[in-house]
Amino acid sequence: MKRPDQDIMKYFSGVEEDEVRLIWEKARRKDQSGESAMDVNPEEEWALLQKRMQTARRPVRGVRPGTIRSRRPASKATAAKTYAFITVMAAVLLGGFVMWYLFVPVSMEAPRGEFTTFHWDDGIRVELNSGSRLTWNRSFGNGHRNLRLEGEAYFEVPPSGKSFIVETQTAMVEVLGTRFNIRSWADDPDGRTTLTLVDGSVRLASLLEPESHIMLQPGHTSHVDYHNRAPVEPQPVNTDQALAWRNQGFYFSGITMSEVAAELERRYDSQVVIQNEILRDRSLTIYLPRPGELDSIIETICFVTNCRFEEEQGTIILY
Amino acid sequence: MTKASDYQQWASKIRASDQKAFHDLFVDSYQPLMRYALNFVKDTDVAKDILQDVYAHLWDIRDRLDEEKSLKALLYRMVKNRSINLIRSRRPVRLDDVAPAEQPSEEMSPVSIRPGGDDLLEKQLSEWIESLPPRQREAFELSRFEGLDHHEIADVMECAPRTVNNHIVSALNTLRVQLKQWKSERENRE
Repeated sequence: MKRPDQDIMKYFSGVEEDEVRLIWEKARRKDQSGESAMDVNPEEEWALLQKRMQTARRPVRGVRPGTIRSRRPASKATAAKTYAFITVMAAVLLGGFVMWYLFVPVSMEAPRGEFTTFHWDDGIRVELNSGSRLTWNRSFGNGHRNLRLEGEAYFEVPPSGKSFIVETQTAMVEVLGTRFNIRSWADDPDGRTTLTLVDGSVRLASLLEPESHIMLQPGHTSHVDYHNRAPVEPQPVNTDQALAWRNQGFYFSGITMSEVAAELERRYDSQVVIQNEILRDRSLTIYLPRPGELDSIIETICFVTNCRFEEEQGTIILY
Repeated sequence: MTKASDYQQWASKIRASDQKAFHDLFVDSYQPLMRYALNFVKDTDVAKDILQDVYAHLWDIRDRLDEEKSLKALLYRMVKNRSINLIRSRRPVRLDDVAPAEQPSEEMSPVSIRPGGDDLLEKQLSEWIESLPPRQREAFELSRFEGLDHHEIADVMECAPRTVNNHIVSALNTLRVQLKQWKSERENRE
């Protein structure tokens, strides 16, 4: 930027203004690292990115809905040909529509500040935490079973059902009859997906390294993220705590205050800003089975972390 | 410098899976982001990896891009967060990792043969900027070197735009005092 922002200049007048202009003009980056940035060719990096994105895209499964054939009378008359042509066109259009209907993704979401529960006919039950979204194809019931989750959800799957796959930003979870929780928030800086199994069995695989996968035992948790591309060693976990959100509770287990703030923002559909840098990176472990109003949670958290807060036009500021 | 409106146009095209817009954004923003990443990680290869991750993730989340929010700020924030995470996850750092990166600052070679007033001032300013309180310095550098506006800086630093204002004004005031002192010392010497 050639000169300071207008908002800034209005704080200075006369000589001060000239000094600020001089400072602005003469300010230089100190380190020479900036120079090496210029040695990198963006186009080369673009080619690498394309390659990476190609390999990341997994092959489409060979699933197709019942092929639609048109019944065409083998007539020699021109009129009949025209008629046949129309039939074919209609079939193609109908086929196209069916394809579109089956493959255009459907999604269900829990808006910020709300929870959503959903049942499928085959007994699969899903509960979504605030600010989460689950996407699937309408052909879900007929064999093509791929769900995509952004956020956090609890699944109950009757044992008789066929297996299906839940995909998140970093993980692939293959499901048999079971009850489990997946947590995978888009704003998590590590893109972490945490899987907690209540009972039954699930397979957790990394999206980035699909060959690394583990079977999880009931009462255990594991996760994958950008740093842990293979699922980490499963740890025993208190499932009541891990599933506290289903009863509007919170269980923060050693996560940073900025993640805590993001979670509170989603649940209460409000703004929680942390102004203190050190506080933002501080980790917090706390179990609040019945938290009540946002104010009281903030009070508890501030008591534990020894911070202060104020409310300003509906925004909560921690410092 | 690319206009803010360009970024927002790219954002809405990328949202609609426009590969060309994605490519344009990539080529245009790559080097500035590279330089920004090097503020944190000091190693070109590591910075390249971070940027690959950032752009790949951006493409993954393209359908969730918020056109109301600055795409530029989002990119800077992603680079910053990933860099910091990487640094944190690498701790404890091996000594031989760090040594090469710190050499330039220890050398402190004389900047030029004839230190004219302006060159000297530039060098001084860099040092003063470096010794500003971290948040003030970050706000100042994002504004001056990365050309982000106050709302974008607020996004990157995760604070209110008003706070950004305060940081930059405080930074400028500190620098002004140092500038004045430096000038009077020079005049006394002459």
